[in-house]
Amino acid sequence: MKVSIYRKNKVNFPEGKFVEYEVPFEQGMTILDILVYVQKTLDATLAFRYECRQGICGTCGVMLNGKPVLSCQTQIESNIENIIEPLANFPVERDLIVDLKSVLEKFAGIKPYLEKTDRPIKTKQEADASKPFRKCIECGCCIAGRKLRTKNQEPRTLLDPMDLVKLARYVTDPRDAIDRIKIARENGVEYYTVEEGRELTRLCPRNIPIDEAIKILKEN
Amino acid sequence: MKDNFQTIKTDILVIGAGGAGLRAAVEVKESGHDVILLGKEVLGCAHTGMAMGGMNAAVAAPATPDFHFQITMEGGYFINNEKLVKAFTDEMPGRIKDLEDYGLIFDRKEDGEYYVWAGPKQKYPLNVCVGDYTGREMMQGLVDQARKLNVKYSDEFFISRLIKKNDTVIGAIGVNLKSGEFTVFGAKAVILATGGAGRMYEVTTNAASNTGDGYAMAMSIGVELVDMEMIQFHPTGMAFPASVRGVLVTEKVRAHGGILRNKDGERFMSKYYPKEMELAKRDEVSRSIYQEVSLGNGTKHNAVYLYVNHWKEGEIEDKIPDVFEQYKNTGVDIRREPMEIYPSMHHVMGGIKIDEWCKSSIGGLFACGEVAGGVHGANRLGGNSIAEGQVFGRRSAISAGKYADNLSQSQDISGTDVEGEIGRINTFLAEGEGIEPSEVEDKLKKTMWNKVGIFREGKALAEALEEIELLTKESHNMKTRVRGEKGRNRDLQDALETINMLKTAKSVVTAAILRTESRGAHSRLDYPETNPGWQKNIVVTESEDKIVTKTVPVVKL
Repeated sequence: MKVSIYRKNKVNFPEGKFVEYEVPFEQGMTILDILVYVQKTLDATLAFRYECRQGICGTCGVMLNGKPVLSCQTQIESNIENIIEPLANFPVERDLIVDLKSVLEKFAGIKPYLEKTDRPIKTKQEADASKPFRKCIECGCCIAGRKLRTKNQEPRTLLDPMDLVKLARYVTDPRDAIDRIKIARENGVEYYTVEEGRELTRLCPRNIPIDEAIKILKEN
Repeated sequence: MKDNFQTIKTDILVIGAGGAGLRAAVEVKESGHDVILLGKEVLGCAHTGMAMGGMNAAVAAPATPDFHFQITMEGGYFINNEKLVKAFTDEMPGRIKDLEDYGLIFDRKEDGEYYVWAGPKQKYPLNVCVGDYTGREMMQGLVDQARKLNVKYSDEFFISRLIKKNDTVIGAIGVNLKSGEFTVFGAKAVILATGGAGRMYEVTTNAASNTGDGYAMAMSIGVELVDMEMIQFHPTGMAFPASVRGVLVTEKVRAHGGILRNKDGERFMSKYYPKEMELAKRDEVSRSIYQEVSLGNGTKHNAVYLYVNHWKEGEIEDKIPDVFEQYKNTGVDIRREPMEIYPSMHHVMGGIKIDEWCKSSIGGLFACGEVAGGVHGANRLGGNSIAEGQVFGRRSAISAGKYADNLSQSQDISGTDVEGEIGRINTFLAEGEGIEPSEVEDKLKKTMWNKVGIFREGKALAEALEEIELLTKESHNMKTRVRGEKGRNRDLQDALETINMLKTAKSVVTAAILRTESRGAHSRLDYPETNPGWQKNIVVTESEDKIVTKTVPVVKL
């Protein structure tokens, strides 16, 4: 089976280009299997991240045929030519590795930590309210899944979907002391629609209700 | 070629950014010391995050810390260090509180009390959890806290050597995996929290970064390790397809009524442990599955079935959502079909010999988490690993802080040490013919899986040792296929990791040969009985490339 992989590195592919590789297909093969095969057998310079194979560490996100996915959890179909690219909307550091710096800097701006009051969790309901948002693994698939149709009108400080999930996580946690809605409002949550949230939820490997996050931040 | 390197000084260097390392770094920072945290993977992506079922703590009556102590000792076949187990079980409830301060919310019952489930041996439930992704939520909380406190960190950074002077650790040197540049860290104290070594086995639940770096680096400077023969195989790893072989299926499945059957539908645990059935200890269930498949009663993928399709509607999605997803992604709907599972190498019970304040046998070096040994004895109870990392992560920080307070500054690291390590790394990048690192690694994985596995036997262990010696010789001739570039050079990382895995493997096999009995995870076909005379620990050290062993009495309270 033929696979096209985006390559970019200083020595061999300074401009960035797609390279086609011939990879033997095996039933149940994932994108990660392909990448490991290529690095081991065809081109030792191929760079990509992976750790857990369990879909939980969040480090192996790539685009498969234009869709952001975790490479370890995504089995490949052999009857089409598969195209593997780095996550969209991130600067590419090298091959399939993206630079996380700018996203994490913005993330830091929303105070992505609990500012805890003395109020305890009193019921199961309270514990469960934030649970869907606490499943985020910071894999970046939601960021890569955004179509930046309105990029020109969007403010520079516009939050990423991952940031909205984190903010909603604290809004629904009765222990938190920070005005998260204010942070969301000051950083362009109005540019998101619930419909876009729904689209992004479909892409999220952890099935996080990003639409609900947007609703919570816009309507509260 | 002379390589440039930068030198950074700090009070306390924490190597490894999993649950224990992060907990240590947070504690160091909160105590007002200067800290640098280093991890091989992107911050937050360490193996701790793969822990699923939960963590043990006596937070709900009738469980008490004494009960937790007692079953941990029983589970470990009474060769655990009692002082470590005592500190662990006494302090666990406090660490659960810390984690909730960092943002976690453990699952609750309707009345707001913790939802606590009972793992093997838990007459009184001890396991608090967040769904079946407890480790990941724990990592998130710890990372959030580290970010809140502005802990200095460098991720995708590989420490390759500890630096020792006058029998004291004074820093470390390593390579930035992104750029290939070297950095020397001078520190008053070093905390090692590098995790386990699953990757030296062909089938493992472990993340790619678990290559025994800490064991190997410690051995290289003469630090004592303990209980290295004790390797845990988790009974339930995914068996098929190849891409997920070994991936963890949490014990929570069996604890909530998951049923094991062989290919003929027989509930085979009744033959091996009729009383405990699926909730026998991990070593016991793993051996049962191994034997069942060896008898020819396995599936076509040499596995057995694990059923949850009898659970009440919605319970699968509620209790084990990630297991549900893991199988769904391979085309199996566990609400209707059974899982295929087989044991998978899971945990190194042994490690750096520490006292209850995480001091190693050498000054300035502290250890916590899986890289340290002694808490779990011959078999670890489920839910005790990510738990103890919290207790000893904190303790190592307090201990290292006190040690650092007695020093006015970190010592200078000699140019010879630095050049020696840079020279060693550069040999893998030099021109000329050589062997590919992954070739050596693949052979080691097979040796360990086939000869140092669930069941062991003197002859196979001796062969394994010989093969490891041979591979170690070959490893000196490893060459990366990428020569010009050091940054993002996977072959270079593989080479350094393979050396560490070989060294770790050698300590495991050497200790396994010495222990001529069966105890816990160490099952010798040629010595099937547990011998009370062996209720002691094996300590290994390296001296001039030779492994030296001795036995020591179990540390009592």
